[in-house]
Amino acid sequence: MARFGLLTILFFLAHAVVGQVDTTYLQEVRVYGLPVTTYTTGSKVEQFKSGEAVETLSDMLISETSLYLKTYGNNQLSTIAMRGSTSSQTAVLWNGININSPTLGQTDFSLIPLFLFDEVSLCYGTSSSLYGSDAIGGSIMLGQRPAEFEKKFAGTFYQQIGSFGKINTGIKATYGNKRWEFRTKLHQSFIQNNFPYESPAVGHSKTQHDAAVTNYGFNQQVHFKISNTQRLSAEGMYTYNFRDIQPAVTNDNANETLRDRNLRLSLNYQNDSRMGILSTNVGFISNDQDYTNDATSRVKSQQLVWLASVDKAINFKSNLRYGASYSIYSASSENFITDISENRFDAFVSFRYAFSEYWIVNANLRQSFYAGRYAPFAPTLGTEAKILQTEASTMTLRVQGARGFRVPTLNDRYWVPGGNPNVTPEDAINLEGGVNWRLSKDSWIYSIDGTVYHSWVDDMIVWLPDGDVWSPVNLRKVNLHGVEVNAKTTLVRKGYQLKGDLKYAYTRSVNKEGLNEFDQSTVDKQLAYVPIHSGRASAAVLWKQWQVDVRVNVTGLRYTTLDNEDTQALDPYGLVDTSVSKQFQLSKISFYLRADANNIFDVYYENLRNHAMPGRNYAISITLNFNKQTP
Amino acid sequence: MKNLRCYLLVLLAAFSFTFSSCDDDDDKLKSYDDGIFVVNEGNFGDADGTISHIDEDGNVSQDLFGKANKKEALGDVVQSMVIDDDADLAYIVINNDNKIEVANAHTFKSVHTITGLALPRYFTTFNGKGYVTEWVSFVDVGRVSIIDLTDYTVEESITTDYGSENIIAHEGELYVSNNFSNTVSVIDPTTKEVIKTIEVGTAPGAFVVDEDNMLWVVCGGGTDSEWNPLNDGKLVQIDPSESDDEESNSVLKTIELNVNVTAKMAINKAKDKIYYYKGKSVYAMSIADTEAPAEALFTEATATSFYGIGIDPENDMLYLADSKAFVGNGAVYRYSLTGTFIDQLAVGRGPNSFVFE
Repeated sequence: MARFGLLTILFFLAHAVVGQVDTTYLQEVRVYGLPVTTYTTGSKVEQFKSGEAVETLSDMLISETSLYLKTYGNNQLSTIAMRGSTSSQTAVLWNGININSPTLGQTDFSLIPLFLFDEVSLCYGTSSSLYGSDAIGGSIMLGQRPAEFEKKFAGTFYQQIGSFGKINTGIKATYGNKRWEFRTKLHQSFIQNNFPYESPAVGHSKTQHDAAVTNYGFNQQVHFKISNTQRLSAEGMYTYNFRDIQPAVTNDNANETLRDRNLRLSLNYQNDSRMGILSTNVGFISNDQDYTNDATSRVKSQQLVWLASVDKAINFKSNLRYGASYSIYSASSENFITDISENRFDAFVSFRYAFSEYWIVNANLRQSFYAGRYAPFAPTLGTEAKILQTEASTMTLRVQGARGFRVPTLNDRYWVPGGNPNVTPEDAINLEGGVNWRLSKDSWIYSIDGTVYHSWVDDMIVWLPDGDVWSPVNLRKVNLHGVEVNAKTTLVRKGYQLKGDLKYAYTRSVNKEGLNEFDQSTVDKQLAYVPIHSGRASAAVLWKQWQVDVRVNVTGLRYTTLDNEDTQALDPYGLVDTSVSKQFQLSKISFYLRADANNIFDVYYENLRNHAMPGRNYAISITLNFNKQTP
Repeated sequence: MKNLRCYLLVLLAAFSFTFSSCDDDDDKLKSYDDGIFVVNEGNFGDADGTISHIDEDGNVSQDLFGKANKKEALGDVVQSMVIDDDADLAYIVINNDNKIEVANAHTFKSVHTITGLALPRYFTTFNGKGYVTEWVSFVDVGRVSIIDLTDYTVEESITTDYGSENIIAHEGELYVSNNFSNTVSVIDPTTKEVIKTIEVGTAPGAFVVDEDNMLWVVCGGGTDSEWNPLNDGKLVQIDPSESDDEESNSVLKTIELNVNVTAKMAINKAKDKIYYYKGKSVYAMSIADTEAPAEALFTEATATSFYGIGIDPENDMLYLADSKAFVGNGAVYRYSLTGTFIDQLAVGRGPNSFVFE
């Protein structure tokens, strides 16, 4: 246990030193055990403790970050463009396993129920050395907090009802003792999405139809403390989502539906010994999707993953982590001639060294192999230095350089007709630097974090037509560059608190290669659906057990085409949401009541061209927490 | 302080100017009388299909329908357009919105929307009635629906074969190519029945009529069970005089193209030469030929992939549409019939066909 402790202390020390973790005002993250952020020195990381609300990861990212998600309607397909990259260039990991669809190469963030996860970490920028394929624009880690092995029983019940037929229910229960911990989570959500809207493209008011979404999910964890140095954790998760695919505003009789079933299983064993902390993981992921318009077409894919790593604190100054993973992918689809199976193998090593309390350097290396081929070798070099430390303020500088890659998807290589087995991985180089400044003065706490980055993405895969058949080619070169600023302030006074939070991103995602050597119309243009300006601001007042929140979300103009035609662009919009909540205790049960009013100015906006988003809407919710802990 | 006040005043002025300049000049609608209309189908799901106009000087006007109708969207996947000169109406078929937009043929002001269709594709008028082909779905048999052009209702539907695609009225009958199949259905508009089903080649599409009044249909060609192209595209010449006899052979001639092509084509003004394409290569074949040309007439290196073809019947100018992979607006390439490049014009997103007025 001593080494667990040592590493944890080192970790905390590092963060006290560099302060790279930027948590939201919601709840501070408590870090247990060994998060992967130990070796993220030099990069921008945001961590969120998943709330107790039943919502999708998409909804949370939209409301809490300056990230832009391209949503195909309310609770519909939702893809991310971190730092102006494509929806396939963000790695999404669960227990260290990449859960991007092996066939499509991306994650639909509306299919990830936040209620089933405890923690979400966002790592901005390229970090394939830590997270493997797809980590070009950023990486998102989903996970559970480690078991506490305390004698306790806790339960949570959540119920929300809202506009347009929204009903969300969630139940959590935890039982634990000194050796065992059991956790069960269940949720069910439905929304009819029959919201009214007035789209200029239609010219009269309409009510959205064919956009209902049902989903439910289940998560079971069993944690077993074998000894003081050994732990075994099993986790199983099943999520189901069925939706009518929201049609364009001009369409009056849609009939497309999508059914997604995802099963995720993981068995983790940790052993703390002289050689370090050995963590080994066996995971199984199954994705099963039915798309139905007139007939049903089904795509299934599976991943069996074995992952092992050793993390060793060599001394107070240096940490070393090394390991390997082996995955077997398989997939079936009408558009594959046969069922596909391929193996991938990764080897990685990370090293972190603290020259002093003020200066840390970090190097990560990874080599991936897929289907008998090499992926680009992916190193990362990062450093953080504290350049100012007084009792009231600290300032840290960070710099990082990294190479990232994305292995072509199974569709890219095996889709018939058109799939191209010779398409090679996308390749990116990223440089970034940032500064973090914290100041506490009187009862005020301020923090400002700024980042500047530049990435050169090469060999980007684009599908092009040759007559009626489309094929992927390594065509595009894209330069990503931008600035991100997060600023936060808190005033703590007796009896009340004020909080302010501002996040802004300036994102240029510039295409450098035409459709062929003659095409200039798409060169030096911003990629479609990447807003140049996006940001959010929020303010909260906490008084006794009351909290009032106001949140403003601003999204700039988005081009929908690569020639940046203004007439085809989506208008900028600003949304204002507000909520009021109150917490109170009745004997052993704590109650949390909350009322939300979203888009209070009833703004009509679109995130996909000619797909309506809801106007003003309301929700009320109640959360009951029962917690019985016996030492 | 004075400076600040001036500055704020300028800001205010700029602000009000920005807003006042947004006013629509909707009252005087522009009229497009001659020239070429381009159907831009738009990106699937984005409902951004438009109609463009090219005047005799090569000037392009974009989104005629939107400009005439308060920026309203025409719809999702604008498949085709037909102009009825007698009625002065444009019938615009919108595939994924299951509708036909009826608009003034000069101003593109909306007149009526015909709804209740199922994946409509192409339209024609004959003897005062409208006929629209419909896929119905990707699994059902396609059909032709008869539209009453006075009240825009569907009178009756005639089942043809899978994937009812192009339609042409010729010599008193209606010919329908069934794109998911290998047949052309002949419909007698008086009895409203399919009187003959002609086997042509896999994936038939566009029709043209030659100088001898014979009908040609282009067949794109099929794929094997592993989706590899069978390279069996065809041009098939049909004798309309055989249509009354269910047993007789309607096919006069079949030209094997030895490649799969897009099932679109055009014929020159003299109606003796057919133009078709594959990717960015354009082929020309005389109707007297018995074999397909071995070489392309030309290949347009600067294009991405062609998506539509047309020939101006007045001046024999050849039009090719480049979808540019739908990443942005497409382009129209113009050539002489010998393949000499004339110019290139920017049009809307996903240009797929031309209407010559």
